Amino acid sequence: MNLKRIFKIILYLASLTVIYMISLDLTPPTYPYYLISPVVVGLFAGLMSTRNMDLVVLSILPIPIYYIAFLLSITEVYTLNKVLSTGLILYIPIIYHLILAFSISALIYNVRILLRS
Amino acid sequence: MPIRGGYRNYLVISISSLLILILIALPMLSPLLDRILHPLNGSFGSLRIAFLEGYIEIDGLNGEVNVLYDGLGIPHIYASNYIDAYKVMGFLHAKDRFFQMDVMRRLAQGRLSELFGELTLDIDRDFRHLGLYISAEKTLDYIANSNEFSWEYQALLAYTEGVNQFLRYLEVNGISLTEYSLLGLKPEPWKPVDSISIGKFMAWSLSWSMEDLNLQELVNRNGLEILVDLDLLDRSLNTPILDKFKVDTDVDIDAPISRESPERIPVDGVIDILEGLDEVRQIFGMVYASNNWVVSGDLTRDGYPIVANDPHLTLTAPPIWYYIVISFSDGFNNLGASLPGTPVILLGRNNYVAWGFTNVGPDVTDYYYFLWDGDKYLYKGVWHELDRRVESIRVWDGNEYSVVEYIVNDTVIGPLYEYDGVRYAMRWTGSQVTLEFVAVMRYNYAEDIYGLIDAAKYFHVAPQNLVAADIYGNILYYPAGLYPVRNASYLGEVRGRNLFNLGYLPFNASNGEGEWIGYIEFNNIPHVINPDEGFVVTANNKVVGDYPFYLGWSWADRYRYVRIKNLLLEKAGSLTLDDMMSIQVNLKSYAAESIIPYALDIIRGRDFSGIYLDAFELMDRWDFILTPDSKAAPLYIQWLYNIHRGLWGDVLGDLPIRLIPLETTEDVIKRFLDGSLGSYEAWVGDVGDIIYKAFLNAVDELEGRYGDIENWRWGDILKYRITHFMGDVLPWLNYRVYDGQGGLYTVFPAGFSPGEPPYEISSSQSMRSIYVLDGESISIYFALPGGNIGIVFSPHYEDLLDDFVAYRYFRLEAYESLDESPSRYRLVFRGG
Repeated sequence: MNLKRIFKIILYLASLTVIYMISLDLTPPTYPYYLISPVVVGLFAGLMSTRNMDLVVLSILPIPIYYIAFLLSITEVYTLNKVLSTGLILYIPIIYHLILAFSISALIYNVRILLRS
Repeated sequence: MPIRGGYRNYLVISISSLLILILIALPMLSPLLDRILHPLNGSFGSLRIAFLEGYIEIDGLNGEVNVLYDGLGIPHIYASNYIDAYKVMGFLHAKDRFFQMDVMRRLAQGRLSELFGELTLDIDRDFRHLGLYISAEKTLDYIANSNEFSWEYQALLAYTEGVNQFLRYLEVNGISLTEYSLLGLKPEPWKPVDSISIGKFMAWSLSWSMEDLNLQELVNRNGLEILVDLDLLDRSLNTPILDKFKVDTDVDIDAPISRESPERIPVDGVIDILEGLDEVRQIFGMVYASNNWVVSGDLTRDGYPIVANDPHLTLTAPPIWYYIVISFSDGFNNLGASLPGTPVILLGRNNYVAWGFTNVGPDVTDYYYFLWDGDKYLYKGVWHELDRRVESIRVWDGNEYSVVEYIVNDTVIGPLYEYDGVRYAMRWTGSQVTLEFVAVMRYNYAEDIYGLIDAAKYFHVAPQNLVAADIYGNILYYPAGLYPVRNASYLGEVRGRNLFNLGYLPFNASNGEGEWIGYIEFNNIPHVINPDEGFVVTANNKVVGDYPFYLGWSWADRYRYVRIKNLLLEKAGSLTLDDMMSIQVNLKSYAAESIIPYALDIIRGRDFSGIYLDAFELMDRWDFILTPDSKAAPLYIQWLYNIHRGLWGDVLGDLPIRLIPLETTEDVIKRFLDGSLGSYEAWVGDVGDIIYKAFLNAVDELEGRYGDIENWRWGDILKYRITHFMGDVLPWLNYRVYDGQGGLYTVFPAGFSPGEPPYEISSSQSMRSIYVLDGESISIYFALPGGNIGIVFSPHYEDLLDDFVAYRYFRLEAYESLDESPSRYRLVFRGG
């Protein structure tokens, strides 16, 4: 893997993370609006992916990146521990969004392949 | 290379499509999942509030108000006028404790099911039956329409507005509080009656009682003789706060009404109904125990009076109390423990005075039965129809509300409780207009103890042992409250004594018994200003010895009172702040000291071996201190429980063990050793055998559960497990678990139900405060079992609990200016 590719991947990840973050902020926190963010990420990844589903796989990363950034922004140790202790309440949205984004990107990528073949 | 399609692509497409469909459908099927699926703003919405600082606009503020949160999470408000101060106080209470406030108002009003659904429907029915919200509305109406209370009313309105400004802030900024996100609800606006309701609930939990019915059932099973033989009414073994008090009026009980009804009056069923309400009181509320004392400058080393107070209430996450400092630009300061949901510093001080409460625990609840003709009852010579009240209770099911109707029958005396044909009406002093809200508002601004006394005239329910001091060196004790004066009924001659029902048993209302003919006049309530002894101690014990009016009978045992008094007397003349602190956290049990050596003497000489011998020797050398490391403490608790149950189990049956004081058990043991049980003879079996078996069973119980004595560590058996209201479902809302200490009768108590270890402390010191009235610094030394901020993600959620358990205190001070105030973070409120 050359430097150019690495740079491209980083840029790609950063873009997807920003897309995820902005779409979360702009949409109401109620159903079905909170689905928009992972759907947008999945769409983007599925459309942009070129070969070997590498970028499709990477589509799951913006979501944990966003959460990790959120956790790192917490400077109080007690607060961080408390957030982590919420258990499923913290992890379920991550897992849910992650699976949804990945499923959509995989779907779109594979539909593109079928359409081309 | 061209991309080719194949079966793998079809497989991926199929699986992806299925997953997408499932994931989209899931939130529709599970409301709880729906609520947590928006990351961060959903469950973690409160994070944004936990660290809120900067400028905030509040409509109608007259000037800028600065709030500096210190390193303990306590806000210091700097305002130029009281209306602004109360508005900001409302905002801060809501910001830091809204869920707690919401639960408390709904509990009082019978509306918990609007949050928690069917789970709390029974509790709501109980409180609708009680009608607390009706008396809250009547009280608010009275205050709102009285010119005399316009200042207090304006403060209440300002506070309400502040709370609602916070709720608007949430809406405008798209923030959802964690608890409401998870419940799928939005916070409901605050009304002035909500604050009054919370006050009513607190008053109810401290004064309502069903003991008349329990006592009647005890009489039903054992006869009236038990009341006299066990000294359950006079409680002559209890040490009163005041030896005597002379009244300036004639008290006539010479013309009591004879009881024409039979001695046995059925109470079954109704007891069962009311036990549910009693459980709520135990869980949510407030168990009636506390300590306070005031010492004059004559007894202190530095010559200043000192007030100490530790109210014993249910331990909750967050705590019942919210510490706050309000400083005005004219130099006046108010600081102390406020009650979230109300604009009062309930326990605290200002520049001039400091005060504290313990619960008096008087008899202010009565039960009445009637002569019936179908659904009509006879009262004051007239047949009355029941007044039917339909209560509509909204129940949340996660998606929408349904309505459940509940019918309450009211009599002219109060709500009717009925079970299987047995009917009782209940009367409680708090069911009418009561003005304790006004009283406490005025305590906050009193300028000496006489100002406190003037304010105390409005303190109606629940009567509290008010102790106080001022910077001029005066000290005060005044158990202000409404104490009913009743038409007594004559029960008959019992053990050579004429026995009157003064209020401790149900009355025949159709016969005119128990009519409340008035209340003890304020000046005739036992009290003292600057007593010769130089101090007053109260610990829920009997208020007064020689006194003509009936106040009650169900006093706390004397053990905490005597311990505190003895410790003060030991150092009288040189008492310091440190002495007060060490008294407040004293773990040496005067109950154990009064009972165990005698119980040991009874079983000394029995043939012990093995673990029984080890246990006996452990108990014999015990110092009566219930520290977490004590191995003797669990044995003491179990043995004492077994003794008490063993002695009184037959007379009590399934009635609460608290009906018979521990002092009575102590007396039985001592009289047995003296060789003469006296009036107890008819009621107890073989005392020696009971105590011996109680000991063996206690050892067996502990060995069975914990093995060898080495494992009988009190702190491992007794725990502080302080929980949030939603903590059963979301354990991360609860506080960390700590080793317990103390016992039921130690100054630093542990409230739990003995009998089957392990134990969890449900109630204890809800805070500790000490005030030194030196006329210079305006400060409080305090400890809080939790944290001041009720937002779970705040670093101040439970940061004070470590220190509370470890007997450490903090100093809270009112600073002269903004610049002096140490600030962790700052809010500046401006008019919008």
